[in-house]
Amino acid sequence: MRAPLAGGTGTAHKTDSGYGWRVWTAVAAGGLLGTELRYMLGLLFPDQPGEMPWATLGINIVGSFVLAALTTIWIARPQTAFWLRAAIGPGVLGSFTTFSAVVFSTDQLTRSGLPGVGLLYLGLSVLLGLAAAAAGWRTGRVLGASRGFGGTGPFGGTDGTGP
Amino acid sequence: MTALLVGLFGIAGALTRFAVDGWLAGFPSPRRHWPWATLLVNVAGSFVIGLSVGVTSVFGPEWHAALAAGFAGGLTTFSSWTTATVRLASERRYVAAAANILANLLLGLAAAAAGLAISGG
Repeated sequence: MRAPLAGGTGTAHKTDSGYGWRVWTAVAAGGLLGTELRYMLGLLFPDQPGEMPWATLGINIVGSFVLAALTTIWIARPQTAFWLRAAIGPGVLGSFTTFSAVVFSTDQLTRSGLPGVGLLYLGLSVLLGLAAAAAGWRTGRVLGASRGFGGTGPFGGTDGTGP
Repeated sequence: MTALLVGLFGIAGALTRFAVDGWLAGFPSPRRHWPWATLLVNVAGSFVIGLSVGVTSVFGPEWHAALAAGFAGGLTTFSSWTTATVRLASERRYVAAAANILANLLLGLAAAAAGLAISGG
């Protein structure tokens, strides 16, 4: 008999890329949640012809902020379970936000004779998405540092890495 | 029914994205990290959403939603793209950050247009 793998069921759940079944299940569950949330928001706030897809824009801004914040929090707290990080990061937030809908809507707005709206939508998505990620990155750093992990926070400059 | 299909296809997209990420991370590389996996899934998903336009007339609107909102939406990611860009900028790798923005946008737009052209949209 083989030795049981992580997860303790005794069967070979380990896959080629090395993740355990728990991680794949977590990503699948997170992917379902993120996709359905995005889909429901799209039904609640449907795209209007000739207008910017506001729901997708909002989704991508919020998702960028949250993922960047969690990324820096998790850098400060590496002990967070990997399956949990996988469920929330690549799972929920990766599926909640979408890139394909942004370029497709830009393409469609341009083709329907509204290249200005398309370009504005693309520009806003990129600029506001990056701004949200930058704000989230800083927020997560402050939150991660304030919980006493690492000395790079505003009050923890004893290691000489501060500005 | 449509919501169920979208969810199942979204799971497939998310798992594919996660698999690509793990697969590319498995290659030993002397170069510093650059988000190749996100570029790959974003370009592939943009191609799929273009292709999905032709699906409506053949299989019906619920399968279009499954492919576009479900699979392409689950496969591609905006938050990883913006977060990775900010991370590169925080490491003062400004050229890599700018290349990440431009490569995703230009190749993504081209892939969506190519998918659309093939599907006859």
